[in-house]
Amino acid sequence: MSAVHFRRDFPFFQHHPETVFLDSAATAQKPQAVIDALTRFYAEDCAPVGRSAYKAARQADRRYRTARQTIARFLDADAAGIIFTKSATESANLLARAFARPKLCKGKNIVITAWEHNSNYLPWVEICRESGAELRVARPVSGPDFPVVLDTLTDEHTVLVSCTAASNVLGDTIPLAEISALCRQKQIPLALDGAQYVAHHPVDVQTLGCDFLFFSGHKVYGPTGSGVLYVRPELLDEMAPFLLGGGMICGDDPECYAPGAGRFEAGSPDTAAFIGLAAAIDYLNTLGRDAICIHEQALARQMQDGFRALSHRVQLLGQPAPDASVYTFVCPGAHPFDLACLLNGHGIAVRSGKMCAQHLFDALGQPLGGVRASLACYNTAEDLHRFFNGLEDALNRLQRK
Amino acid sequence: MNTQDALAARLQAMDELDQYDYFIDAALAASCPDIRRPEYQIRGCVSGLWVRAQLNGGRIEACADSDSLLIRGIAALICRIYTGMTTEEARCTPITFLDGLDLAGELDNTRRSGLRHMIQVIQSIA
Ligand SMILES: Cc1ncc(COP(=O)(O)O)c(C=O)c1O
Repeated sequence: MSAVHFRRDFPFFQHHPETVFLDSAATAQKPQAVIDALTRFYAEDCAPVGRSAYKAARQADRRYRTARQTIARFLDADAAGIIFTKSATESANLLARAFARPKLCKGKNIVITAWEHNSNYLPWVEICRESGAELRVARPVSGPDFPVVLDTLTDEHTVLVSCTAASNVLGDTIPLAEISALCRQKQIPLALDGAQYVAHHPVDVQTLGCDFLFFSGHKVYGPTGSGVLYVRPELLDEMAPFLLGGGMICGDDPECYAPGAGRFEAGSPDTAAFIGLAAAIDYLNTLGRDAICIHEQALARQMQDGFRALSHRVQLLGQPAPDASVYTFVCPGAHPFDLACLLNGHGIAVRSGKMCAQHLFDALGQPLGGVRASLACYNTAEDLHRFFNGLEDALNRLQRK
Repeated sequence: MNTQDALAARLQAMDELDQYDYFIDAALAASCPDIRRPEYQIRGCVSGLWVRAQLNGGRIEACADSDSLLIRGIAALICRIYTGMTTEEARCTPITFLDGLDLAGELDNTRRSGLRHMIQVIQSIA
């Protein structure tokens, strides 16, 4: 299947035929199948879930249950461990509050890395501050360093390692198998921030060997408002509910919280969003994960060749893997904000700044941040051709002084 | 037509890239030495923004600098508009030349740009 074929499924590009969209790491465009699923739910199936016995409600229940199973299969996970949240951010906060916070006190520690997005940083800062526990921030210089720096900082008092599976800034490969082997050996629970990972790599939480994994639906071609926290089911009982409200108790007994993941889903869920996320996953499966990977690898090659061929001095940050989907770069004499504006003048959508990863930019010695171009299945060779032409032109304009 | 209206008309007639070129030219023509100090820094601007405004014989003298050439150019144009005015006149002179430009929404986002704060600083020197 060709890239043009992928692209045809995304109505955004019919409305913006001239746009080169290279900001999918921030949010991905939605295929028609997802938009249809949302519309169908609201038009045909709208009813509460988990509460009522009438026909439409049962139908909504069925669709919601099926969505959970689809999402579980996407991670090769047990559906019992899938908690629906509104985003990766909410998932990380839930993990921090429900799992880690009750275990923290002075003398305990949480280990994260300097490569984390603020979503997987600030919740840990806050619960460590509250509890007197120590937040240890590992400082890998590149992907292969992760296991060593995590090994150095973890000990018998480590309550959790929470680590990005793929950075939202650097395209380096992070050796997840080694990290999980390390955590298993030290008997420390491991959480992976999969926000930038799951759209580009088939995921199997068994093989990954993580205890928690979270992501946002909107970066996997699904709707905003859909997020997932996968919890290894045996750990659910160690977690205390975080949000309290309807739908999380057993039967009518307000003193008894529902077993399993249901305890963490108080209140009416964003049913449509999860049905939409399941539609996004079905869509990816229909395209074929392998076909997408092959296409994205070809784009990655073109991207890396393109950066090498630029006539201006452009520094790609990190060491992008052969299949990297994010490319962050800096150019001497060109402020990232200016570059992003000038690229916009060419119809090219990129992200500039520090991308909610201030720590990483500090570590990289890049106080102005960078410009990020990120790939998705609907990008084409022509997109990248236009991107590099636009970038050359932008640099010509900015560096004429 | 006052100078700001003339500037606005000129910018409206350009496409986006030409507008950027215009701002870059303004940035390169501007000079505001020794201003990158904490006391002149406008907080909350992602691209770094410094402004110095003072009164000389009752008239404003303002100049600005930024890491971003676009922001520096726009800030220089704003300073040019206010320089020579009394504070009274400055307070009655909103910055309008960016209205309607594609970039305006981006710059209006005070969390990111701080240009609005810079205008307040200039208008409120006493
Ligand atoms: C690595 C990473 N983690 C977490 C998040 C937070 O995702 P959201 O804003 O959808 O909650 C992002 C989003 O940019 C991300 O890239």
